[in-house]
This record gives sequence, C-alpha cells and structure tokens, in this order.
Amino acid sequence: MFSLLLLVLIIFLLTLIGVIVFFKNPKNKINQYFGLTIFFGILWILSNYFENEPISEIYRIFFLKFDFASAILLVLFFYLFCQNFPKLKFFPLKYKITIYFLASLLFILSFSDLIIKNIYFENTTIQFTRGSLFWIYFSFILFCIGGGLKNLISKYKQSRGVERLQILYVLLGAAIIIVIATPLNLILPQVIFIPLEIARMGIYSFLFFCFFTALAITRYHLFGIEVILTEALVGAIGILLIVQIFTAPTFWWRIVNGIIFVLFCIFGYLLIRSVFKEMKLREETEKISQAKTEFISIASHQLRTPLSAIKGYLSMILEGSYGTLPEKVKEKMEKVFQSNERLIKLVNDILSVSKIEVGEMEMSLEKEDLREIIKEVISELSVKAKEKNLYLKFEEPKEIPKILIDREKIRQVILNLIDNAIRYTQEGGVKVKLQIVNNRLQIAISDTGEGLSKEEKEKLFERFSRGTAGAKFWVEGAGLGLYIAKKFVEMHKGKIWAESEGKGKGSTFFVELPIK
Amino acid sequence: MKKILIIEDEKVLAEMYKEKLEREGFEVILAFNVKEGIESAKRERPDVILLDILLAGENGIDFLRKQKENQEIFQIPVIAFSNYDDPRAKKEAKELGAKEYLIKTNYTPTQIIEKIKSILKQIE
Repeated sequence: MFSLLLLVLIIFLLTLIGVIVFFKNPKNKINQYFGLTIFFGILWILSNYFENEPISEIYRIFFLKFDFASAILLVLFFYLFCQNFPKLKFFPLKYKITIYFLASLLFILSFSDLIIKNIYFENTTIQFTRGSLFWIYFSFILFCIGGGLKNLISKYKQSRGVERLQILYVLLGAAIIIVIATPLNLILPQVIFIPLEIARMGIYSFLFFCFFTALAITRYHLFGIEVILTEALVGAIGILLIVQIFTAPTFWWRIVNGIIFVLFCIFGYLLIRSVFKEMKLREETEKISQAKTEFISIASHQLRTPLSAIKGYLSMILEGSYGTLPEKVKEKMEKVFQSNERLIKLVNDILSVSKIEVGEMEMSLEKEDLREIIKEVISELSVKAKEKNLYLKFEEPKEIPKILIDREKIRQVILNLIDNAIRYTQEGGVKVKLQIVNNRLQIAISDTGEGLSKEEKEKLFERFSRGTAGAKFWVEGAGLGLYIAKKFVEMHKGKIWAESEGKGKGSTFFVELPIK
Repeated sequence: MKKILIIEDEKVLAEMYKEKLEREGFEVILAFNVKEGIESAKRERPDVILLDILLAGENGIDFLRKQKENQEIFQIPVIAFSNYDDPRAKKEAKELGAKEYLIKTNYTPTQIIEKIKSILKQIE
C-alpha cells in the first residue's frame, strides 16, 4: 500500500512539474523536450513498477518490454534537451532524421526478442536474457546520457551569469540521480539483497532531476537556491513535528508538541521571509547590473558604427583613393586617424570592463602556442619600436608546451604590455622572455624605460590608473589597459605583476599562466 | 570579375565598402536585409558574401541558417562582419559556416579586402 501511495505521489509531482514547465511556454522547443522527457519518464517509472508487481505474467512481460521501449524515448528527449539547453542549437536535418530513426527503430525492436528475450520468473522477480541487439540498445542509451551530460558540462565551463546557474541546476539534478541510483541499483545489489521498495528509490530520484531542471528552465529563484533549500528544510521539519504530535504517548505531550509546532511555524515563516527578502534584493541588484551591461553593449555598438565609417573613409583618404594629399594635410589626417583609433580602443575597453564586472566575459579556450602569439605581437609593434629607435627582442625557449588559453584575450594582454613598454621607453629597448618557471609559463617584458615608484606599482592594475610618466611623455590612454589585462590573466587562473627598482631604472612586467 | 554580395543595413557603411571594392576591381551587389540577401545570393551567385550580423528584422545568424539549408547557395563563403562583439554570436556564426567574424572598427576597408582575397585564394 505504501509503495503504491509513493508511486502515486511521485507521478503526481512529475506531472505537476511537467505541466507547469510545458505551459509556461508551450511553443519553446526546450520546454517541449523537457515535457516529453517527463512524459516518457512517467511511462518508464510506471512500467518499471508494474513489471515487479504480483499481477498476471502476460502483463508483467508487457510492462518489462515497455520499460525498455520507454527508456529509449526518455533518453532521446533527455539528449535533445541537453543539446538545446539553455539556448536552442541548430542541428542539420540529416542528424535529426538519423537520431529519430534510430530511436524509433529501437523503440519498436524493444517489443521483439532482439533486445531482451527468454523472459522468466525467479521467485517473484522477473528475469530475462540479452537479445542479439542488446548492446546496440545499451550503446544508444549510454550515448544519449553521456553525450547529453558531456554537452552540458562543456557549456557550463564556457558560460557565465544566468546561463551558468541554469546549467548548474540541471547538472545538480543529474548528480543527485547518480548519487542515489548508482549505489542502490548498480553497486549494492551485487553485494547484498536490496528490497524492491529501496531499489525503487533510485528510479524515483528522477524526480529530483525534474525538479531542479524545472527551476532552471523557469528561472524560479535562480539566484536564490537558499530560499528553496530553506523552504524545503522548514517543510521537512514541519512534517516531522506533525508526525510527533500524532505519535505522542500522552495528551500533554501532544499539547507540548502542538505548541512547539505552532512556534516553529511562526519562526519558520519569518525565516523564509527574511531569506526571501535578501534574495529579492540580490536579484534586483543583478537586474540593474544586467541592464547596465545591456546599455553599454548597445551604446558601444551604436558608437562603433560611425567610428567604422570615419576609420574607413579616413583610411581611404590616406591611401590616396581620392587623390594625393598635400603633406601638411596628410600629417593632420593621420592625427585624426590616430585619435579615432584611440576612441575605438576606449569603446572596446569600456565594453570589456563592463562585461568583466558583471561576469559576462566569455572564454573561448583552445590549445595555443604562446611563442606564435608573442611573435605576432612583436611583428605588429616592431614599426613602432623602430620609429623610436628602440630594440625589441624576443628570447624564446626551444621547447614550450601548448597551453589552454583564450587566444584573443592573451594576445590583448601581451600586446598591451609590450605597447606600454615601448610608449614609456625613450632609450634602449624592450626584451620579451618566455620560459617555464615552477611548472608555469612565464612571460617577462623588461624595458629600459621610466621605471615605477612603489606607489605606482601598488595602483598600477586598478581602473583608470596611469603612471606619472604618462603625462610626462604625452602618452595617451584611459588607464583601463592594465586593469583589463589583470582580469584576463586571472580568468586563466594566472598571475600578473610588475617589478622595478625605482624611477629611471626600467621595469619588468610578468605574466604567469598555468600549463594545462 | 569576382562578385561580392554585401548584406549591410547601415547605408553609409554599405556604400563605403562598395566603393572600395569596386575600386579594387570587384563587382558589388548590395542587399539591406536577410530576405534581399537570400534572393540576391540565389540570383547573382556571388563569390563571397560579406554579412553584417545586426540587421533590421531577421539577423545575420538567421541568414547563415537559411543559407545552410539552401542547396543553391550553401557553398558560397561568408565573412561575417559586425560591430556586435558577442562571443555567442561569433561562435554561432562560425558553427554555421562563416569563414571569419570580423569586428568592423578593427579593420579598414583595405584590410577587409585582404581577407576577401585570401578566402578567394583558398577556394580557387
């Protein structure tokens, strides 16, 4: 009786979650895939339950086959959900047809003897032997679950902000299934006898996955897992206290338990309310921050359009597309061009800072050779060094491992540091050294320039911070470059710092990145 | 003469790139939205498409999706170029087959033409 009641409760909760999520946005493919995952999950749980119940053997055999068939569609929609969550992904038609065809075929074959055969009953449990296509069936199940989770994990690593939290919730749900079902259904049955009611808990843990995924899709209290956990905790203690009231040995104990329950309800309510308020405040702050980033993103885009036109036409004028310019005009035009470049850089930097501050700066990691990036930057800046009669050397190691980095970001860091070194150096030059130090890759950029005072060193990597030499040598900049460089290096779990023996003694900037 | 289709809704930029490309000896067709772009691509069969991402109505990513599903034009190389510097848009454009995703402010028209030439060289 208890197991049937539990089954009804689980099915009711699953249906409720499925209906709420589906009807929140029925036209959205993600909601549809999730709805279908729950639908086939319910069929799978039901067939799994009835195949082990003392009913007619013909029905039990049918339910066992239906158990296998529904599992195929359950994992298919789970896979499609993982591929498309949190954002829809484009799939080529051929790929879609293949996966649907395979799933349909395995669904139908589940009712034949090709997947499972020789179904028999041992004591009260139902048993079978593997059919000739069992391993293909098994591989498909593994592909869908493994592929789906792998995809979610890789998206989790690359995502930021709300999306990252959404994926985390889904992964949390999946982790709960693994933690509950693996020992109950896979490990312990090999060692000891597990009663059916307990073994079923592994299957019922599907409810946790659906619950957390539903929170992720609907974004309910996404930033406030604390609220959900507090609600769950208060609810669980409340149920225990009610049980205590009814199981108390005497009337007076019941009264005492009743009073405790009432007091608990009052404090529980106050606790939930205060946690909720705090979360609400945090959500509001997040929203404001999001709005700020969106505004900056749109404003930057709008600014960039006229800047592109100015850059484009100026470059064409300077290239002589509209005739040869008098030397004096050309000189001034070049200055306008440089000022425009500076404006473009400023817009880019402001956009980067705003993305960094709200945690929306995304990483695109790939194995890269740092030597190539440094050489590329040096070749880009060599003209600039030559104009100032400075040397620009690169001391490279013979062998260096490729490391996992975001090429564009690390390139920007190196470019910024070498460019700064050239700007602040009037005599001598700049030397770049790449080496392995303490199992990390270290880039050292040394110059014979102005050097840094102790105070400057401390403030160097802060926003809008510029060295005093900046004004002295007419070096332009908003003081955002080193701040962004520091953030980019930290995003790679690396370290950036500067050393200088004092004013007039040159300086060395170090960047250390982990080898991975 | 190589044919370039520019899909760009900012008139000033579209005309600027057109002018520069024509000076370099290319034949240029302009389209101002995705619908026009698809029609022009089918009709003119350009050698390269220069595609803006933030277009009015449907965007450049929609164009890439439609292009990929269309047997007649799916092979034409596309260079996405936009001032919308979004990693997700970049990733999506690359996944849908764009050869490059360039930020307009970071390139002069001459540099964009170099990119076009290098892509033309690759496909020849």
